[in-house]
Amino acid sequence: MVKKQGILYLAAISLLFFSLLLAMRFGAVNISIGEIWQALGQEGSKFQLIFYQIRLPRVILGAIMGAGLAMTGAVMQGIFQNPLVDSYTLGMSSGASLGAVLAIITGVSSLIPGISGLSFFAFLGALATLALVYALGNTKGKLASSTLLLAGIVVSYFIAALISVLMLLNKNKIDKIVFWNMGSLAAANWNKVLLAAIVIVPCSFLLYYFWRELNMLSFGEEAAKNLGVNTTKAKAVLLVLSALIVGTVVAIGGTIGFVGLIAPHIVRYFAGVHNKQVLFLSAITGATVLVLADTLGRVLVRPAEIPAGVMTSVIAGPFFIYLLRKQKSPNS
Amino acid sequence: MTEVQIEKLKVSFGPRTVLQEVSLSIEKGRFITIVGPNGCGKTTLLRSITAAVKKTSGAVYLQGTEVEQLVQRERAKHLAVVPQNTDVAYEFSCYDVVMMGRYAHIKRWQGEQEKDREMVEIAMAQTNVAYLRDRKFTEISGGERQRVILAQALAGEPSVVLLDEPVSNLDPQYQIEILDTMKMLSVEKSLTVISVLHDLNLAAMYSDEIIMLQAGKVVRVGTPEAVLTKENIERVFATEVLVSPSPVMNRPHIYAKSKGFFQEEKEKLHLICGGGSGTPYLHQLFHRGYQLSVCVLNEGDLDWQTLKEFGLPMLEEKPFAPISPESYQAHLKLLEAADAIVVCPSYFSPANLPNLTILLEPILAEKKIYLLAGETCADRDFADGEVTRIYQILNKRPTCEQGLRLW
Repeated sequence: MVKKQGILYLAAISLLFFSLLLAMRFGAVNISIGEIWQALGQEGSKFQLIFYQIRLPRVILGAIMGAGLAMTGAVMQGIFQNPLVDSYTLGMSSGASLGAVLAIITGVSSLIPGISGLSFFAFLGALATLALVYALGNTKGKLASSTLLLAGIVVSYFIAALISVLMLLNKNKIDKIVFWNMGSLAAANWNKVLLAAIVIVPCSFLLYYFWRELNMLSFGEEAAKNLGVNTTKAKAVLLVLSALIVGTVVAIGGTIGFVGLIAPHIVRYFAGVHNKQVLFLSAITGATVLVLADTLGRVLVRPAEIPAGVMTSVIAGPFFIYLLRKQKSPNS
Repeated sequence: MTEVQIEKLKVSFGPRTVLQEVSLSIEKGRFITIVGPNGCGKTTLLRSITAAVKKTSGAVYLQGTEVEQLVQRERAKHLAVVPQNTDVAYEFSCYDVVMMGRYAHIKRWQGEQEKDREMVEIAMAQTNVAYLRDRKFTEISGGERQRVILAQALAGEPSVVLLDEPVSNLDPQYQIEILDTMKMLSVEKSLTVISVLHDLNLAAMYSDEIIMLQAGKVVRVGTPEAVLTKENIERVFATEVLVSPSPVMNRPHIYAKSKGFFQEEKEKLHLICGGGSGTPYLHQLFHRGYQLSVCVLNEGDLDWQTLKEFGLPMLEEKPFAPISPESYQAHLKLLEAADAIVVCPSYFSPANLPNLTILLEPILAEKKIYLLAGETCADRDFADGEVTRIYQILNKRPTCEQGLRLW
């Protein structure tokens, strides 16, 4: 068991490392590994500029965001005992976008310098949407899997419509807003990396330390309570941390869907359902998935690029349908 | 020592009162069973001990502390729960599931210790699930699951275990295995067991005390002998039963009574029987709706007991007493009234021979008679050939038939 785990961890980390290298190597301008190596030493060269100011922050940002999204996905799937949820299907990402859009339109975000104001509103949006979806999905004290998903979809549509209205009413800010509906890493810079590192990394670590509670929540809330879990507190902490991560991701990169959904599934396929492994490996896998999706998006239609959010949806849409069908099979 | 104390507990769900003024005191190391019809509040009572339902008024104390005051973790250290069904969305290994029972003892930043692993091993051995260690919880049988959940409950070293119909989905061998384990722990380790059981016979077999609920109220508390009486069960469950000591544990054993498998009452049949020879036919005919009457029987006779259980009218004589002329005449009246007579394969001696000779009365000459196992009549003849002679006479009648083909 321990040996198998070790191999999985090693494989996942190697894969992430490999995809980071790929991501740094390919793009609008290809940089060979040798050139990367040279750039590390040479100041002021063309490659150094591309590598340090464009490529490297983008890759790191992608990795952190992917890891954060995957972690929240795994956490949501644990809390709601439903393998089909993540921040995207539950409408949290849309909620975060709405928060961000509202901040842009009202200009409130400029009161707080940098991008942190925007991420704060995105966080509020994510949290409020989650509360709404939760309330809608909760019928007579029961949280049915299908109702929850439907509530998420309905709320997502509603918010998308709201955002469209807001865009039409604020044509001068339309460019800025469009960005949130198409998650992208194109605007990566070191400030964003810093914000991501400050919020997403510690939140992810905290989430990881709730693996035991998540394991037990999959037996239902009452069973977890009977075993001694303070479920109210655990859920509140987990959901607020998740909303913080999603809010930050959306503020930085817009709505990037499905990473949180597929990464935990890939992990469970190889490593089982124990959340200690699922959470850690989801973070690694999520980072790999988003970095690869972003790289693919940059390479496919060079010199233009497909936003990472579009890429993840294109890849994960069919995957989601596969999961949905699998869930209907009698043994689930 | 009082382990669980319930005082004037009242629980309402909206306008519906589920438990009213329930007061109970449960001693350490006792095996307590809550019985009662569906919807009487059994599960609610169990859940209010873990504070899983909000009470309207009253209080539940665990070792002197009100359960609502205890933080989840502390409560879980004392109180373990085995629910009715356990569903899980993800495929944990059984070992992981049992280890979850140690949650209340594990510190977040420290992780599992040697003690935790040791307790998990002990619990898995106690419930006989060590072989399931690496199997997925979602892929084992219902009985195995229930035992794994029991191991989870025991791994936490609780002083009280609450079981909500722990065996209702299980095969008989697992029912006994699980309840034996719980009983053993209560006898030898002073574990307090509070269980909801559907099966009154299992309740009678294992419980030190039975709490009988009806419509949210405690109607009886006490030993199985005191609570599981015919009167109490018939009143609370609204069905007829027969209660007699079980030959296994000398505890009450409850037999549910069928009301019969017929729509309209059928013909009147009169049985000549005794010594248990009529009992199998009495059961069959009674449940198929035949109106039954029986020959003169001595008190305590096996067939006499069967009739008593059915509550049918009887012609009795004291044990070993011969048949009196009065009984003989009354018997003749019954025979006249019957549509047909069934002669069961009984043993006859001079004492009960009048039950057979009466068939030669001229007034019964035209009656339809079914002779059962007529070929063995000589073996059952302890009246100097009289039995054989009568069978021969009856056999010659056109209205007499061998065997009984009513069903």
